[in-house]
Amino acid sequence: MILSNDRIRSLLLDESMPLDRRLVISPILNWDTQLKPGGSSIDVRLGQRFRVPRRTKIDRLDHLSDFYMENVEQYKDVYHVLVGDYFVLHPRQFVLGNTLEWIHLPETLAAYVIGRSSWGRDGLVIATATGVHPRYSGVLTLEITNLGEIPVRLYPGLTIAQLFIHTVVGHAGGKAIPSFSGSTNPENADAAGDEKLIIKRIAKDRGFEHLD
Amino acid sequence: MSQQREELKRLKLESATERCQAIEESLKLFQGRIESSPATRKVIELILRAIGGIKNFIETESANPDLVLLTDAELEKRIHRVTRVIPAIHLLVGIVEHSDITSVPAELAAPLRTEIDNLYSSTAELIITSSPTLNYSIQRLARADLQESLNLKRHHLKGFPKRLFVASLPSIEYDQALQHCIFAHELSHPLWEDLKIQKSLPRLTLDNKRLLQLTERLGKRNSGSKKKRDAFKALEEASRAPQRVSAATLEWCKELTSDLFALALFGPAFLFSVIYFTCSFNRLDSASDSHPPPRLRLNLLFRFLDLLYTAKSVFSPKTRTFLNKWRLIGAQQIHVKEEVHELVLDTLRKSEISDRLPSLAFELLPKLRSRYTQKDYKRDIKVLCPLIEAQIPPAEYLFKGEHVRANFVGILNAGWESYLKGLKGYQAKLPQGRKTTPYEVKRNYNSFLLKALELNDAIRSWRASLDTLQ
Repeated sequence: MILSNDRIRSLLLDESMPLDRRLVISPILNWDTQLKPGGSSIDVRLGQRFRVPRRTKIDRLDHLSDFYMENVEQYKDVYHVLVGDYFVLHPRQFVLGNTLEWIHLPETLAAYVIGRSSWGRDGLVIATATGVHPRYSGVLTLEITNLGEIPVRLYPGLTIAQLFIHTVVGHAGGKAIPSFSGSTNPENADAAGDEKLIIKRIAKDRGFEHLD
Repeated sequence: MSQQREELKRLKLESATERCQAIEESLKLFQGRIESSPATRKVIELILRAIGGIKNFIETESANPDLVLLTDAELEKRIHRVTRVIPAIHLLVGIVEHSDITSVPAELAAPLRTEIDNLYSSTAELIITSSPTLNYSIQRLARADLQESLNLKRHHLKGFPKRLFVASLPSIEYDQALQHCIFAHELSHPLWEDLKIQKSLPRLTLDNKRLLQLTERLGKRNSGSKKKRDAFKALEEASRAPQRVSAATLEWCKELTSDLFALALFGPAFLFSVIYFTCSFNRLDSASDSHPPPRLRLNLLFRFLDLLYTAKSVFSPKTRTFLNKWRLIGAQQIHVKEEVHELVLDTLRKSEISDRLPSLAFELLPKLRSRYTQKDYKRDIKVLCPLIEAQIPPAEYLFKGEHVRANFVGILNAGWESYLKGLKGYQAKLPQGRKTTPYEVKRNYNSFLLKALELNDAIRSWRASLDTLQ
């Protein structure tokens, strides 16, 4: 069930709820425009950090490689763009950004991040990995690509995406912490995770020699 | 004009032109950078203005037929009068070189600028820069001095801050938010002059007999030595001893006073950062002519803490235990290595300055434009620490249905309090991949606090802008 804006507002202002079970989106700089009456999503703003790929000698990103995270660190630069300044996203350029807001979801809520249509009409794709799990606490990493024909200026502080918040029916998996929780900046993550060893084992059994 | 003078003129002007071009080239690398403080741009403008002045002079002088009338010495003096500013420009370029937001934490720069503004009114500005040394320092550049050293006219500095603080932090540890509370000491330094503290100190009681004995002992050291160099060194040390004692006493008083005001400005967070950074890393009894031994700093800080934080329940049991251990460490006898420093310690003791400084700082508190009180601390610990434990940045808190912006210093104090308590709650909410080592947890925690400062400043600047528009 998607929460209405009235419900989101009342949850955000509910002091009686213990902090662990509280919905927090901080800061909300303009309640009226970010939580429009009658709507069912809250607008979130573009944060101040961007991770930008750069050309290096690294020839690939391989999630099965033991050096995946090191490689990612080496091929990305981090830019800090202050509110008031801007970042230029060129056609077909891909960067990681983040929301200005810190999102803290209790175990009863999950969320989806969707780009705002006004940016979409400029050719901007805001987020592709859009699910936010219960008990997540951190900024949201946004995958931003300019699919348009002309460069677009990105101003931190502008509303860039919207968060649809859902209730979670049933028990949300004990006390497990979502793997990206605690994010303070846009970041990559090792997608293979625990499956890395299994797939490597299968590859070895089948005689594939493409792994590091 | 003789050929030699012509050569002298040519090379001096050519050399100055090249220096100016080199500076201009280096400044081009700064284009497109994002500065942590607008003051950096103002300094760059000033540098370009000074360079412009030198280039104009060179152009005029190159074509000046009257130079033939000058002697070599007069010619040199005339050119040097203008080109002497080049080394000063180099220093300024060095200051701004590492002040962009890839070198310093922008999250800290904005609130520190606000603190400077609160403390010294809008006549002051701050540039934060990083350096490869494991040290925090601050330089103060007065507008009048810059005008003089850059050969500028008064109107050229219109809009330039009256006082410019250049604070430097260690580049390798630039993201350690908790540690940066040390800055409070640096920000407090100008208060020595502003509040005319030297005049309020008791008269210095120098133990002349001991000083004489020291001078004699230093003079005799190495006497009869076959190495003449050593004998001269001993004589020099002996003759400098009285002056070293009085100068070091003054310097130590300045440092100790800055510590006390830093505690008043930043609260216990400052003391925690002194313990963690200065005392745990340096030797507790090591002193220099410019800095007192960390143990003495601790001793006075605890005396002042007892004046400021009087409520019994103000610190959590864990923090109180931590503080008590360090209080005892600070109370132990100080064994400095050099006799000169022993005499400085003795002078401070006999003149009752070590006893007087905390109470003097306490009396002067009402004169501070900004300070962090016990009441602030109690409130912040109560409302912000639970947020940290729940992994919610303590940038703002909910109070009676309203979001209240937290105080920048309050965030740092709550940050320290939670850190000293062990960060159990915070750590439990981190996924396994973010807590493989204790250092990784601390790093993530510092990053989390920087995020809280960033959000806190976003709220401040947004509201300020909204107020202006309305």
